[in-house]
Amino acid sequence: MKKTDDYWDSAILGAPVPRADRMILSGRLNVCLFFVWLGLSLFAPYGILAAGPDELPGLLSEKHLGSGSGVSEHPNYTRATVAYIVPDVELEAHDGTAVELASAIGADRAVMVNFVFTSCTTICPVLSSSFAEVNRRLQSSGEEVNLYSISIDPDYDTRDKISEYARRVGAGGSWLFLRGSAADTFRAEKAFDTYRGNKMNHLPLTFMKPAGTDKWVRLEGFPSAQQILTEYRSAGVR
Amino acid sequence: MRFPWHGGVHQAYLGTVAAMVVAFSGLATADVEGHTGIDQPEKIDQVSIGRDIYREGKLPSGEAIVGSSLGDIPVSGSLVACENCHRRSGLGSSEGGKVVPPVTAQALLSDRTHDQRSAFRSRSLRSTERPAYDAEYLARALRLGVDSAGRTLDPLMPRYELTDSHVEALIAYLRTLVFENIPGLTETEIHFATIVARNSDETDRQSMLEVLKRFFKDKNANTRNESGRASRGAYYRDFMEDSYRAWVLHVWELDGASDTWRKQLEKLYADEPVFALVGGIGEGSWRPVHEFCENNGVPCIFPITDQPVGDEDFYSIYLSVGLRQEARALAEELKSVWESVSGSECGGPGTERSPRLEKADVPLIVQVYRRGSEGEAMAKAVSDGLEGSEWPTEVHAVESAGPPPTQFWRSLYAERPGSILFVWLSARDLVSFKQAIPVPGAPDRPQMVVVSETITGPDAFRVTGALIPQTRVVSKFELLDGRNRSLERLRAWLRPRGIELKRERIQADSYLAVTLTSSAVRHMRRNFSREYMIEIIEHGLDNSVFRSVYPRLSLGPNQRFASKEIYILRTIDCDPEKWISVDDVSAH
Repeated sequence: MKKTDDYWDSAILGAPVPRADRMILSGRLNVCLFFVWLGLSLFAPYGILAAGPDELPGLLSEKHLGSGSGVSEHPNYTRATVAYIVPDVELEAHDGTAVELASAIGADRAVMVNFVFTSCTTICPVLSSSFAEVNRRLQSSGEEVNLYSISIDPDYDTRDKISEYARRVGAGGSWLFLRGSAADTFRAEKAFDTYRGNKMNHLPLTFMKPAGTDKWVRLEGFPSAQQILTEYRSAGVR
Repeated sequence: MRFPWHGGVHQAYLGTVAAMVVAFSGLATADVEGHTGIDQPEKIDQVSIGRDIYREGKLPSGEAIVGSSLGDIPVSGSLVACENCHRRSGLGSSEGGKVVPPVTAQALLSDRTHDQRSAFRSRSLRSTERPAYDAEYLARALRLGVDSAGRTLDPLMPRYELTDSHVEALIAYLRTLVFENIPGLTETEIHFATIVARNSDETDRQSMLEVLKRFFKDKNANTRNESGRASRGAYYRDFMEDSYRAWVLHVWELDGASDTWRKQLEKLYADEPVFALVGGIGEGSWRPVHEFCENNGVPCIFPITDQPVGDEDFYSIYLSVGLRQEARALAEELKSVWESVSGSECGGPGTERSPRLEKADVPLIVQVYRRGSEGEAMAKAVSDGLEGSEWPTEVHAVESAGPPPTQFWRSLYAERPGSILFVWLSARDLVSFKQAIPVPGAPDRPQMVVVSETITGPDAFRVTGALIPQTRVVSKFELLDGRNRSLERLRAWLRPRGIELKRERIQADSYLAVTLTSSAVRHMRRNFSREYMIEIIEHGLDNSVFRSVYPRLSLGPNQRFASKEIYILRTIDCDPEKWISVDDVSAH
């Protein structure tokens, strides 16, 4: 702290000042800085909120918006509603088809999305088993929802690797595994605010939205299959 | 007296200290000093049943284990085998903010309390204390998710349908996960070896050894009185400090061709057991070393080889893919789309990407290599990769002692006009290549020349002379600009030590191998488990700032090639200094 004060003092005054004066000046300076900080923290959020959640870019997620965007805590997961701008990237599905991400999960589609990688040991097997169960229940209730699992390990997760993994976890039909180049993968991750550098730091996230909106429900944590379905079914209502 | 948690103050049960996890440093650790080997023959069957359950999620009946996760999600089989989260070492791991605790017999079958250190630890650690597990408690934990203190386990931990005999078999297996009498480890020293095969280039060998030896010397300089702290350090830090060992490097020199190495390795290992192999260099297939490491359970960390074995085994980790993967990438590219090279002479109309060639247009691919060299392996892999495709191939082996003369190339062009040349030769073997190139427009001029930077070295970008516009370079290395930036970090280490940068790849790979080994040893602390060492490298490599000469390094559980990228490069605007990737081609 002292060092910082000295820096400001000499920067402002341009010359050394007696120690006692320096203390006083530092104190005044601190008070000034406090008001600047207070002003910024009170008024700056309005600048962001004025744009309205719908106009926010993908990277600006609910954490910038505070509780107003519908963040809620559950015992085993956190829920938030966020508008994401899905990037225009072409990914490859485990069955070999090309998938334009922006149109596949765009505003008119009912979808659920998660981010996994095939060599992941702790979180992804559970996320994938969870999608398998949710997919099964959606099919038996006749709801048309497309599920996408996007690989965050573009180097290792080749077409063969995601096909094999998809077979192991029982994907297919309305549930596709996707992969892309490193650049496209990271763009998709960043758009959903899931990119954490080292893939071992990835978070357990499930995204979902009904057709007709670009507002996503973002679940962080480990909801049960029933909780995912409940969240999905109420997503359009809220 | 030692307690099992001395090495494991980080360990905490799922969910309790999630925020503590910061990739590399947050790995769950535990001290394991069990005295629980198997000596009764009848136990062996129990152990193998337990191993199948732990490692593959397979019951003795052959069926998959089943259970549920997060309350209502059915899970089964290898996806939820114990080893997935608790890892092969049994020492646990961390992922995405979740700490997976150790489950070795030593960790599970003893009380966990935090008495001595309580003054230095958060009180919340009290909530992780628990009595020792026994078969009954473990069965309850596995079936109902209740720990030995009666607390509910994290919902991420599946609840399994296992019988009492399954649980007993599991315990029998967990008792085998002990880390004592580890070869190459004494109270004061940890021994490593590096392989130097005499069939490799002399300067390459010396470049690698120079880096390794200097790193070991610095490591043992005792600048922070590490050995003193290890023997009489503060009690509340002893778990950090008493794991300190002086590093000893053994240089294992191998003679002859690679197929004779295995026997030599076994003898060297019997004479001088080591904890792990670091780096290593040699021409030819790396399989003998790979198999030696696998059979003896010795970590084989980042050898410098272009003929690694696949990624299905555990103990060998490679920095980059090998010639086989390069060949496959090239074959895939040929099979899908290939550029038309007609009219791509400099000053002529630009090169355009064309769809698949018509069958009648498909030129002959002529592969040239030196008998017994890495090039032969490459040629064979390309032929294998193109098998069943429309591309006709033939091979020419160079047998002469010296480089093939100009006449060799002239007659090759005359006999095979308009072909595509795959030249898998060293720069030395290509000295007369330039002189023999037919003039533009001549019917015998090759349509395209493909060389590999792995085989030809940095000269691959110059060696084809007038044919540079028609040249494609297969490379697994970072493009030159980025490579130079990455190498700055190496230069900063070499310069003050008076070491000259002679062989970029060799020195950079050696430096990366030894720094990652050092990092892994530091994070192991007292848990001198070779499996754990590999798990730490798998887990933490992505955080390495230095990436040697590769574009991106990344590993994950059971991944064995750190760099997987392969480029096929061509010049821009006929400028021999500017190369771009024809396309990003994945290794697999």
